[in-house]
Amino acid sequence: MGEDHDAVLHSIRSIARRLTIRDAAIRGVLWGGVGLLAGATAVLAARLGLGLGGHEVLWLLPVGGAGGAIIGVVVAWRARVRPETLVPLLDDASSAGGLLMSSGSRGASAWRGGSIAALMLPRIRWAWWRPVATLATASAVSLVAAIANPALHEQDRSIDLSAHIEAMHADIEALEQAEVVDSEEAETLESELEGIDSRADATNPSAAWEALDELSRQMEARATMAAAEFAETSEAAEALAEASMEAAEAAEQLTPESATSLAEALAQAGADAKPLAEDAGVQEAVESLAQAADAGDPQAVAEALEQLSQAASRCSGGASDRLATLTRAGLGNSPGQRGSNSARDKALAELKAMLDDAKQGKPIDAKKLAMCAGQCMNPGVSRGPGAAKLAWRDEPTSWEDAAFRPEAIESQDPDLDGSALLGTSLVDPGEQQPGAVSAGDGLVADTSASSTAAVAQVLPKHRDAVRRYFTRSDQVDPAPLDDATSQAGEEGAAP
Amino acid sequence: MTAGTLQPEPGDGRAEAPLPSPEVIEPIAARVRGIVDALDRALLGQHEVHELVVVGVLSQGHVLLEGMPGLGKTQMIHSLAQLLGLDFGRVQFTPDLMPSDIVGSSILQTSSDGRREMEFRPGPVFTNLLLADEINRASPKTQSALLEAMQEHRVTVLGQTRPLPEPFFVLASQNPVETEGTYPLPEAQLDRFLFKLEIRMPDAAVLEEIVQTRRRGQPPVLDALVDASSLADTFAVLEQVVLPPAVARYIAALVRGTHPDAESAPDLVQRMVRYGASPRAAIAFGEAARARALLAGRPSVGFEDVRTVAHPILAHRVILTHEARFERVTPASVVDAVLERIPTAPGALPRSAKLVEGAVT
Repeated sequence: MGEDHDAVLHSIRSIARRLTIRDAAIRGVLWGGVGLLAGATAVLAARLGLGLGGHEVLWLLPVGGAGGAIIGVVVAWRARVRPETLVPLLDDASSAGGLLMSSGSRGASAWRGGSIAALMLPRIRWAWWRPVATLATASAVSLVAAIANPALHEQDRSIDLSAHIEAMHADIEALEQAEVVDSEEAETLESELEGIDSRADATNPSAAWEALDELSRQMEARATMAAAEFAETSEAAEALAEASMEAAEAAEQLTPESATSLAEALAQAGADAKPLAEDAGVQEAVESLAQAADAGDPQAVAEALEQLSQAASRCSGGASDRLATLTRAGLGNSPGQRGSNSARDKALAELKAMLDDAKQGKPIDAKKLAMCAGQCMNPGVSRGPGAAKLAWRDEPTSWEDAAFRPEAIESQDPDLDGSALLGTSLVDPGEQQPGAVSAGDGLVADTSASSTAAVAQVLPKHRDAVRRYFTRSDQVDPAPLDDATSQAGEEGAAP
Repeated sequence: MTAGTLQPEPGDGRAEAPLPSPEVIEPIAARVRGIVDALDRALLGQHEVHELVVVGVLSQGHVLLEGMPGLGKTQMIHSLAQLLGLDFGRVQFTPDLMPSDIVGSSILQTSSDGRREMEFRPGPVFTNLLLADEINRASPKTQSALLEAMQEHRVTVLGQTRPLPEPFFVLASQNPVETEGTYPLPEAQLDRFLFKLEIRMPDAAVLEEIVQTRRRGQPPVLDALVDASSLADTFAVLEQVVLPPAVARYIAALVRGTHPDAESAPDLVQRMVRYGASPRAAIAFGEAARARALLAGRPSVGFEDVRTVAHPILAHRVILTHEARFERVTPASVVDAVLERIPTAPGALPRSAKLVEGAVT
């Protein structure tokens, strides 16, 4: 064969190697692009489908690209150009006239030197620009979409709770200011509110709203309860102050016995008044009054009564201020006209009458004076003295059987000392008819088959949502709210 | 694959047959090129046709020349006969020409001893080089008689078969424009011609040279360059020319590609071709490509040899549909489509690489 033959073989192998390397590069780019596209698609799917954000899944991009490139190179290597298969092409392109293909034949060496001037490759077009450009564009688009999407995603999924959160912050501040909650409880509420705000997600907005509603309900319940206590304390303290002031004016003119009875009655009433039990000033004044009563000095009783009146006035003012704080914040249902005011007024009037009688030298009925003083502090209907056990029947078989068995209380003289106030009512007790809608469970529906619009029952947990709907800022016509509230008010169940 | 050689693999395109040495090939090639040069001097402006005619003769095939009157078809064949130093016969085909006028006939003769017996008078076919002028003017019966002789190299008259002298070539001509009163050769008979060559009108420069050098159209006197024995030597050397397997595969793919039912057939073939070339075309390809390589002074056949003889071999063997006639699709365009479609070395390049159109051809 000789040196010429070795040179030809070397050239053929070199050409085959170059073709293989270039093919591997192209396939690496192509498959790398495919891997990159697959990675970008996976990133996109992960961020959209799984909700992964940030750069948690961006590692898929280089992994996909590198993996694809490796696969492409491996595929190219497995399909590498064989020098044996390249020979006919080179023979044709070099115009060797079959001599290159006959290089393995005997006698070929005599022909090779002058017949094959140089090995030439035919003109080759590497078909890779278009697919690579297409894949690169697709990968770039997917990449941009994958990276840009989370921001859009988060923006779209956010809920604007700022107004609601701000209002609730004000409510918490009002509760703390009104001493409904202490500072520690206020911090707990604040942190809970911040947690709701941070967890708010548009994919499940009802969760955030329900959480806010629940927290708002809890605060409203606390505020309502506190407002009732404040109102009760204020009224009781105000009544005690007025009664003490009346008594103080009359005490100096009373006999020592009557002054002592008066002081004992008011001291007992002040001590028994539950709303005032926690007021230190009132309780201190009550103790002073009790000591003055023991001394039997009308002058000292009068001074003690004045002190009690002032302490009760301060207590009433403080309760009124806290109640006003809650009222300004819109918290707590404003206590309506209590049905016991008339009883208190009546008791006060009766107390004044007894004091006037005592001024004129008439003896004071200590029991009646004590009852009147108690009525001033704790107006209402007494259950009366004595107690009756709750008697249960056997297993009830009907709603009628499930009712309590009425048991008459033994008739005896009222013992107000052993009585306790359980509650008051302005209406006569009545039996709830079957099928009637509970007034406290939601809006009362118009169940008649009239042509008017029906009002559906709304569960308590949904009332705030309904209220927000009718009170939203973009509401053009607030009439539905007014109609709904007025109609609900007419039905006796406010939403 | 070792460091010093390419180990042959099945179908890798390399042949193991020994190559004839340059000392063997080059004198023969020079002699053959001398014939072509002489033909070029006798008939101006038809070099490619001369080469193909010589290739046809070396391939021991028959050639059909088609061209307008006056282009020198007969003169070329006459000159070739002179150059080859072979017996030359000429038959002017006419409609009333009988088979016996070609193959010969037996006549009743009285011998010297007075007996009467049938004596065979050979026809003009009993020669080495037969010029069948305007072959399409004879009746099919007469054409068939000649075509049997072309295929079998023998004739049968009155039940007696007589071999024709070797070598035996038929160079036929036909006029493509005067179709009235002609009998076009059937496709089956066309297949027996190795080549069908079209003699084209020379350009103005050649015509000018003809006017200046050919007084009364007389060609130059040619001396025989070869004789029967040297021609036999040429044929012997031709047998040694190597046909690489890759080239043989390419030839097979080309012939297969002319069939409309072939997967490798181009769209034009699938739409416009009714029947493709026969295996006889593949055989002709191999022989003609060898002769072409020998003419080029090479001991092996290359792809360019195959492409050179593709048109003369395939064009008259491809039978087009009627639709092709309406759309003016020619057999030459079909062959071009096949040559363009069939790769010389399939699978040699990576998938991401494509040959630029016309990069090799």
